[in-house]
Amino acid sequence: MANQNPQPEIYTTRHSFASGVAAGTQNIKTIYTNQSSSEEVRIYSLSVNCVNSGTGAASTATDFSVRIKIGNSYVPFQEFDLGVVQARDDRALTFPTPILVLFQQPISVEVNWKGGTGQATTLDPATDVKVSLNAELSLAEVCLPNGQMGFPKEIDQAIPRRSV
Amino acid sequence: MVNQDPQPEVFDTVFTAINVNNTNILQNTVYTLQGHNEQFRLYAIGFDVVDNGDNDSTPNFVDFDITISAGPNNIPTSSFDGGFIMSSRERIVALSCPVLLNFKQPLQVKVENVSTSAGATNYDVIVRLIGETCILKR
Repeated sequence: MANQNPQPEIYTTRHSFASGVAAGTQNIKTIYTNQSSSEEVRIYSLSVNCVNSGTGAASTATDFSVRIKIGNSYVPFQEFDLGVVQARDDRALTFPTPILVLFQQPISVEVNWKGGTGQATTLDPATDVKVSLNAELSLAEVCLPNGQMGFPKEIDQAIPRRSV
Repeated sequence: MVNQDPQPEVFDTVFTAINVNNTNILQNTVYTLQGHNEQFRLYAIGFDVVDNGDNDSTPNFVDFDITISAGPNNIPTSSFDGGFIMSSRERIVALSCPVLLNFKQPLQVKVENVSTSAGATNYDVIVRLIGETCILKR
């Protein structure tokens, strides 16, 4: 439930990879947005921070990829590289359009160790990948035809449409 | 009370000597001193860590989480990573929309060392809150 409309949100997940894990090892974390039926979350950008689990310093291993699942669908559809985000000056990737999260849709963040050079290297050192989703939580707005004021009472007549 | 409308504000809050050998949480309160007809809007958060011993501005420890509370509520709802802010060149993250702070609502900042690793030294953590105070128009 939002305390203000809109409300900024930053969701951070921590994905721990032990030293020596093989390429292809995956770690999945779920985010529950706790939004109500009349609210929606929009994710505008993603930030990443690869941390050396042993020292708390920035990790030298950054060859990870991520896939974001909203409800039962992947958005974006394909996985994409996290290393290139980690290498950027702002450590962030801004999406061209926001990702929409509706009521009762959990967010799953799937991080995959790609294996570094040759994609066959075990992970060294042990690394925690922290993925932050920069988002906002707001009351959902629906578009109705002119004169239709009774949503959801007149839902059979109206054509509700969610737009980004 | 503002001297102009709107008035830019930068609040720095410093957490001194965080021992990175332990998981610990420090909390500071920022008083915006706004009038009853004024509102503070927080647009961006800066994050920096310096070595407590020699004021080294580039310590190699990036595993902190931040929580912002506006009055009784956490906004954003959950704690979030400060490491990516510190690792970025600007060391500032812009929020997707402002955090609103009304009259008599204290602004609280929590910094948590979430690493289970043992660090070598103590650090000062600086959280910079960048926003504006304006007069409510209704």
